[in-house]
Amino acid sequence: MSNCHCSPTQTNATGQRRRRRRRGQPINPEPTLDQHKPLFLVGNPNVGKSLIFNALTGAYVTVSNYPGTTVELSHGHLNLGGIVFDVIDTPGLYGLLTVTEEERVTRSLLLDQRPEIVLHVVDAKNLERMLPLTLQLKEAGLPLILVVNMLDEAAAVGLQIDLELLQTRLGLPVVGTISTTGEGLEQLRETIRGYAVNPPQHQPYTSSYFADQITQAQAQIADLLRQDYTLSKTTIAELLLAGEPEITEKLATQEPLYSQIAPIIAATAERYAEPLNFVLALQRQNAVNQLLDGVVTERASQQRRWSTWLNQATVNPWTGFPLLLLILYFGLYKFVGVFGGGTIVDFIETKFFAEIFNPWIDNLVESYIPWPVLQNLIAKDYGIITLGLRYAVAIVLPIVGTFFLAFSIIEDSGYLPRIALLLDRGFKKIGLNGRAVIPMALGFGCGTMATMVTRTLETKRERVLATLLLALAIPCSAQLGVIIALLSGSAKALALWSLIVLGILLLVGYLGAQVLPGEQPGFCLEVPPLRLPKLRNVLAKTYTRMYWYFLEVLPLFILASVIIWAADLLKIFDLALAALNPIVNAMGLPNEASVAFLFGFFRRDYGAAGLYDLQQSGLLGFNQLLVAAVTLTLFVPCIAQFSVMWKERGWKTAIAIAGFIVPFAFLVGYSLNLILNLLGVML
Amino acid sequence: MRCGFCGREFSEELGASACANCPLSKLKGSQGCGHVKCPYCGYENPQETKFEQKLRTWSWRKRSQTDDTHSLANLPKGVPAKICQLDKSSAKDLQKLLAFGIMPGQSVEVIQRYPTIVVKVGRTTVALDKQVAAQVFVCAS
Repeated sequence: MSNCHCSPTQTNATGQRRRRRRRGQPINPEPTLDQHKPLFLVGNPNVGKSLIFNALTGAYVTVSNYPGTTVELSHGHLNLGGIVFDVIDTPGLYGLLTVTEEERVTRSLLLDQRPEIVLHVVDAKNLERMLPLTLQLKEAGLPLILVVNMLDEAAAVGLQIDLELLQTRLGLPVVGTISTTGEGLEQLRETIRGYAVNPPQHQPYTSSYFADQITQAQAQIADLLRQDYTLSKTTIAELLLAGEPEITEKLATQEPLYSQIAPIIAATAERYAEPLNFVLALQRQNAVNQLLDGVVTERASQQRRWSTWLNQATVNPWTGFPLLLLILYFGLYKFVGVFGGGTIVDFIETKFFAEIFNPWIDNLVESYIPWPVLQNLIAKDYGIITLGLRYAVAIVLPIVGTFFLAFSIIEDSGYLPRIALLLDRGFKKIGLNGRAVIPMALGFGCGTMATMVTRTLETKRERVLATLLLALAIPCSAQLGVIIALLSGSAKALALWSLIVLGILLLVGYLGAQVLPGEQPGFCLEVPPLRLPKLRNVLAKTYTRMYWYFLEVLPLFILASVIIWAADLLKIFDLALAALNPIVNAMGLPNEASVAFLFGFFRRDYGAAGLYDLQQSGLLGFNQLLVAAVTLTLFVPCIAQFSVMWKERGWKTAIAIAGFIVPFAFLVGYSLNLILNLLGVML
Repeated sequence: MRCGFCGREFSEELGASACANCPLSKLKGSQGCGHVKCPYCGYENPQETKFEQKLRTWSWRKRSQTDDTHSLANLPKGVPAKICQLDKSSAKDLQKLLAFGIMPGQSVEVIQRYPTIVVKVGRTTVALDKQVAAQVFVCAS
């Protein structure tokens, strides 16, 4: 899996290696100049790494407050007086002994590539927790600069940090920064430049704080290693001693003398009652605590009281759940559903497209293109511009845009981990844990993106379950917006729809959790302090996500229009519709609804948007709308989501999921119609 | 359980050991006689159902449980404590705990217990479920 992260990196890095030299500038004598040097930013999640990345490169990438959202790597260039760095923002890393997928990505980056400089970004408030990684990276022989970030937050809780003392004790450059205001960044640039021009000599560094037995074992193993590594041999030896599974497995086959190494590991492990990774972590922590003695001084804190109160209120169940409901109601329903899906869509769709744009295009096409077949391709009922572009711009874009805006605000404020901890118990019932909140919440934005993000879940079982539930019962924002608009005429229908879909989510999740083998990993998550989101970041993030979405969505909409046009021309469509009609009729829906279902595969929201047209023309009653909305929500994911399912989970799982969903969706629709009729309910 | 006659505590398995020779326990389809013999005095106590057990141990405030007294899962809210030991049987969970700075010697305080346990370790706030919290053992600070 980690390979798929690394390969685009490498192609990117080499692809962008263009020579750059400004005219009139003297050619620099140093041979190292005028080349792209890889510079890595590493550090725990939530230390402001991405903000520093942005400040250094000027380019924007996703910055987030949730541990583990930056699955993708961000690239950027930093030009310091002729020295160009290829800056790479790596996913959050807690230590070289990894737990999550993202950490493995970062470690394999450190293992496989040779960074010129590594910036280790740490949170000034939590130095004693962050510095063990600094020591680890230093021992690994990486060219390290320590960036102590968030000095303002540390000062706010009454911490004073003697950076100079820290620098002498660590023996590496230390720079203090406040990434939110940009303080200290100029100094950081200078330090980087100085480091690149005049790299400090790397003397082989060995840790002196481990117990003698361990240091000896480390040295013995290091002597026996024959391969070449980017990280120092003592570090590799340490990883082997700690029993890191991936490295152990790899080296067991690659190292010729591994048969001599294994007994050393076993003998060292035998000396301790506890696992070696624990012993190593503890001894390193002791070293850090000693190192920090006198570096950090604590005064009485003067934390603002409202923020402490808010931090508490969002996690306390009595206040947390009502707050969550409020945020969902205003953020999701009012803002995305009613404002985005109602007001804006109404305005663009009816005021602009239906009244001005479409008639104008139709006229234009009719007067300049004589062939009706071509006329239909571009304009008219199913045309590329009048249908494809209209759906994408008028119906989908406003909804997705408002969703991503709301999501980015929630994400940047650090609220997502709080949702995760509030909902952990509920998620456990459906075989997931609180961590799954991210892909699930994103699923309300775009199922395709969310399915991609499921790779951050820990076990295969969770990933499959989350993929299934995303495909089945989580409506994406475009669909959600259209459905809310569809059913907005009847509060009862809307309530019933949400109850039914929620019920199915829980039922299928519960059953799936019983059926799928594998154990449930424990839930353990860092809760970052709530922060006021920065407007610029929120906007930029919304923009990047919308941009990505639009790039992904528009071609599909156009493709769908073309397919519909071609199928219409060749009468293939009629065949498919004829096959679908009896099923749709059995659910008590008119033939026209078949079109909506058929479109639904090209995009789920496309289908819902088709229903919207039907409702506008008054062909459907609320009973029928409810049945159609439920079926369409459950129905197959769109082509894009399906292809990501295929890619991420493999074809067997993807087909199995689709094979379950399609009949199930129709079955539910059919039963719902039957029940409504039997009970004589009229909504 | 507690013997109703002599008042001594004994485990149910110990009491059930007397059943081996009893013809009633060998009757097919029967659950036996529904009594447990006290190993100290021989008095046959009626077996406790799950419901009765709950009723007996129920109280308003969760008392510090008899088992795992020192696990973080049972540490009351607002009581400062020190982490003294970690359960190392699950390498994955252990690694996670270490990553969040949950390790022996750190001071810890429970901020909230429901729906998920939230603790403050040093200056870090961490949420963990019962399963993970039970792997952290604490002592008075």
